[in-house]
Amino acid sequence: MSENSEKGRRGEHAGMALASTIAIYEPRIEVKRTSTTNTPENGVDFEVICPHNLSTKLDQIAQTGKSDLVLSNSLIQARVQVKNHSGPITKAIMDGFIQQCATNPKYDEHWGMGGVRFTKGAKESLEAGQQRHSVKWWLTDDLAAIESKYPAVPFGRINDALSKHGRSTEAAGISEAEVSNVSQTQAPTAPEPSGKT
Amino acid sequence: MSKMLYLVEYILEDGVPIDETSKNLDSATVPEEFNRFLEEHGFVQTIRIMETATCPPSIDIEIIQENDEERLEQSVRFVEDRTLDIIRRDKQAIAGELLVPTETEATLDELYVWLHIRSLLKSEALLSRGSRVAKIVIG
Repeated sequence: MSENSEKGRRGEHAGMALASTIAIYEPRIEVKRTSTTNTPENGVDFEVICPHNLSTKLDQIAQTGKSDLVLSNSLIQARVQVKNHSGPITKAIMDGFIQQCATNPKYDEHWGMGGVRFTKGAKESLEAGQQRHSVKWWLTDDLAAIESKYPAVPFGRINDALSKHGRSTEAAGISEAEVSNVSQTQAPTAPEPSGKT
Repeated sequence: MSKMLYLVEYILEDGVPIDETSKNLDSATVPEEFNRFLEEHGFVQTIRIMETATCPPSIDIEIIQENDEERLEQSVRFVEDRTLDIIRRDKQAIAGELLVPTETEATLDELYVWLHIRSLLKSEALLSRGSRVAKIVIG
């Protein structure tokens, strides 16, 4: 595999790993890879089916390190594109990401990940794109804040993650009794995604 | 796959592209095979651009090496060879009036990807001169 593709592959898996870790803590989140690294995918590295306000919650965590937002029962489908860039996100990259919103109309939200900062042009392009589409972008520091709120869980302790994280039982759609049992038994089964909002 | 080719037009200042002025004219996904071809042949070049007209050049971007028509022609030839391979493969899939719809669908999708790259590489915008210049950015 070429160096460029290898960087892309690593970035995609890191992004998916973070989304999957969040799905351990939070209810009703499904992470779905739509193609392999080397298959053209029209700007969709992976999809996330999740409560419609999950991205708002992640924004709050990225900005303040915490969020008390209760996740909704209504689900949306988000397109995620990861840019494993050690430098800034340029205007050309951001324009490309925004242009692909129109070619992926089935998605309710479009999420970008990666880069250390936006160039001035990229920031303006993102803001203009947000006027037309539901677009979010989390830079490396934002992702670090989110990772710190949702740390990776050893497999043997995934059933403890729910109660230790203090997730809202109302949001999870489970009873207090189920939460108290979760570390002794198994994680509650998330309901099947019911479609778009 | 995250890697894309972007045909991007920039305004230059002292010969240096300015990010803020960039305009995406076209974009195409990059199959791994083409990525590998570009890297193995040393066709990927890192250049430094300016964030705005007032900033010193500080942002590294990767582009398909320019100012060398031979290299661009080699890239186009590689893409065209790949395109013809796919057409041959697709013809085999429908030979003898035995249509295999799933195979045909897959090869035609693949064909579209390569034809798009060919179109981008052969874009007339790359011939532009003066204060605006088009570059093929990898990102």
